[in-house]
Amino acid sequence: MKRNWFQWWRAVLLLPMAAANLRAADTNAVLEGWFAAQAAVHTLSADFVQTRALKTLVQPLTANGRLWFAPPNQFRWELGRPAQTIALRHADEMFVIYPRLKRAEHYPLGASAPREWRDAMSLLDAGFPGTRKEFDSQFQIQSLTETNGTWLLALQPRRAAAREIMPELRVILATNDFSLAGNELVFVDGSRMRNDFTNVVVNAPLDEKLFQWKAPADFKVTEPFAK
Amino acid sequence: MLCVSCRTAPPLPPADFSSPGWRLRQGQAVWKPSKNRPELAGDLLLATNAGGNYMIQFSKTPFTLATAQVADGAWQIEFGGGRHSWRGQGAPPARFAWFQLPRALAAMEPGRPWKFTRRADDSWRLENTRTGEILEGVLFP
Repeated sequence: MKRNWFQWWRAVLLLPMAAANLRAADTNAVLEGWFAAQAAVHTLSADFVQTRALKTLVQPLTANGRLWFAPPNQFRWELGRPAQTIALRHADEMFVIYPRLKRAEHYPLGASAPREWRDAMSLLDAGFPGTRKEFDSQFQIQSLTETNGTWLLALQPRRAAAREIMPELRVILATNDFSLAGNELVFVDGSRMRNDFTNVVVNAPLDEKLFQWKAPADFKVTEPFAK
Repeated sequence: MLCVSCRTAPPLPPADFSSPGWRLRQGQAVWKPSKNRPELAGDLLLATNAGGNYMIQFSKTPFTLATAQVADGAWQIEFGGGRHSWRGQGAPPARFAWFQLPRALAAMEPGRPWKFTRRADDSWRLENTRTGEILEGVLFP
């Protein structure tokens, strides 16, 4: 990864070797800092503002929500207040719940899940990487820039199928502690979705029930990828 | 006809809700594309203006599944985040639920074989009795 990054800079920008080496080292240092910070996160909760810039609309759309996360892969996203959509992952399954519709969708996420769906999930998980090796196998770093106290890390999915959905992802990290300040997904049609996190609380106890869900009797639960 | 339209009609410009007369509504819906395909729930966005232009979008956040737009006598419909799209002039094709729903919600009779039902809780159901396509949902106040 480090060598590819160095060679790319040298070939494309024709910078002197010393300068290119420094940039590669900077990127590596930020990544190492991010992964070290991630390793210390045992639970996380945060509010977020979601901003969607759609190519069909001049004005962006915003919505508020709340996130709870427990590594390696338990999460609960609630969008809207009161929650209109809830995405909840526990172990190898995920529910997307629509309380107003009294509907829920169940998605198995294990090895038997469709490859496209696993690709999509890995894209959505980009802000919460597990290991450096896993991260490097999924993403290629396009650029690293520092702006207003944040690192902006632009990533490209390595898998062509994933790039057809989402050619670029951006992860925004605080420069002081490498905490996740936001993320942005760029879609193939040019639309973008950005989440800006606030009120981040790390390592406070979370109720296990946050990541579990049992369908009420009047809910219809479907499995869109069932054969 | 759709392919010819696709080649000749330019893409519609994005809708500008800051212009006078636009109304933006959000909701949720369940879409069953045909009787043999699974249903998908998602978020619905409907923008209409007094001149009869509209834009409707169905997405499973963050992925956009379908977008239909009518503006000044031209129409456009896209599926799969823009990977499949058709455009044309004149009345939009009646076979797409996404063009039927804004009409039905505006109390205009949908063309056959579409059947529109509004329920007491303000939810609604649009069904193509020939193909089994169903769109049912609610728009938030």
